[in-house]
Amino acid sequence: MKKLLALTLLVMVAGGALADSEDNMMGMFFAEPFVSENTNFENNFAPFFGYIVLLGPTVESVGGYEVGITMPATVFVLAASGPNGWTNFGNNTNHLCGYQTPLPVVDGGTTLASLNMLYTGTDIIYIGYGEADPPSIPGVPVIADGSNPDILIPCNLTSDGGFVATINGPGVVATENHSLTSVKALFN
Amino acid sequence: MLRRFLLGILVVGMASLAWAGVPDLNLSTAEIQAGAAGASVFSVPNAAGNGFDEAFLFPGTVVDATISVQLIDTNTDPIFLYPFEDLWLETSLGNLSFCSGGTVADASTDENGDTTFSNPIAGGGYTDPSTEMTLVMVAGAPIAGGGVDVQFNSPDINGDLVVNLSDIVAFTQLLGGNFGDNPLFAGDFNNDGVINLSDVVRMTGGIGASCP
Repeated sequence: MKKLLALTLLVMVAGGALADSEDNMMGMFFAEPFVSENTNFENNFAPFFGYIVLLGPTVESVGGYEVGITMPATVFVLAASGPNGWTNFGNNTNHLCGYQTPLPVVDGGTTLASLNMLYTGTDIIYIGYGEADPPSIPGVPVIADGSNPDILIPCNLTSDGGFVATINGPGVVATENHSLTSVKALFN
Repeated sequence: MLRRFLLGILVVGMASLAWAGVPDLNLSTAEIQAGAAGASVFSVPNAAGNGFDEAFLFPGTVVDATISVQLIDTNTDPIFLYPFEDLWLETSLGNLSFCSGGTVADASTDENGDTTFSNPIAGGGYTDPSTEMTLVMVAGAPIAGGGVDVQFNSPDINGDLVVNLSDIVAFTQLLGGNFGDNPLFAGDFNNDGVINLSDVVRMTGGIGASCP
């Protein structure tokens, strides 16, 4: 009986930890649906879009977010934009962003912003997410609760290893696959 | 003799009547709850900021900084129904800017002469927490005592009563900055000692705001 209880407890703890890692995941996708296959972009030497996506939010709306995007300087971010009065106080790869009206979460996720990018090389490019500069919470991307911006929530990444997308590469293995067609439609 | 005496009483009585209902700024009072001194009220020109009951005490604790006022006349009687439009807030150094009627009292005084300031103000700018005090003005003159220690902070950083590109530039320069270079804590809207994403959200929400 004790073993059964211990096992049950272990499963509950493990399940809780797993659930936590799948909450508030920030990633980059190049197309919908937001699944692993769309974390890679095969370069066609023309401008393309990458979407900063939040999956599994624990909030009903997002008031703002921050993320530092790392990638080689050979990848140009031509422009960044976002919905709901998105305003970026950082730059194209250092997002310190707020929304004039909180961004609602639809079907378990939301598209926070889009990057219009250009890469003219053939090398494999790895795109990573980390803390913004200056960071509200060191080491990780962060979102602010739309109902109370004083609630800052550290974000996981949609994949392990710090990289969230590739160009001319294999893509990354997402921790969980999501299909958020309606979310992207809301932003487009 | 009796006539002079009666005349004297009449004069004194008339004078007393004349001053009845006129606030005595030395007897009238303005105060905040103990423990709320120094709290900062997040203010936006369109009055979309926080009420005084949601002020931020360093380092970011939400407190009730409602200002309670009692108006007393020279006869030490409370003044009933003193109009709220004639009671408003200013700050001692003038760093709080406000829209017309943007800082008036919640209501006219009650039978005890009491009223409060708790509603969000329509204003901008930011006050100096080290030296600036909030004054309760009664028909243009402040209640004596030096005021109450309530501060204000707004996305209208330059205090021109509109949140526009000038404020965006100012905020961006403040973001992540050293408070040694920003001793008045401009841009730290929730008074937690750091300008971060919480302030970014409030700044963004205020963009475009102007007086009602």
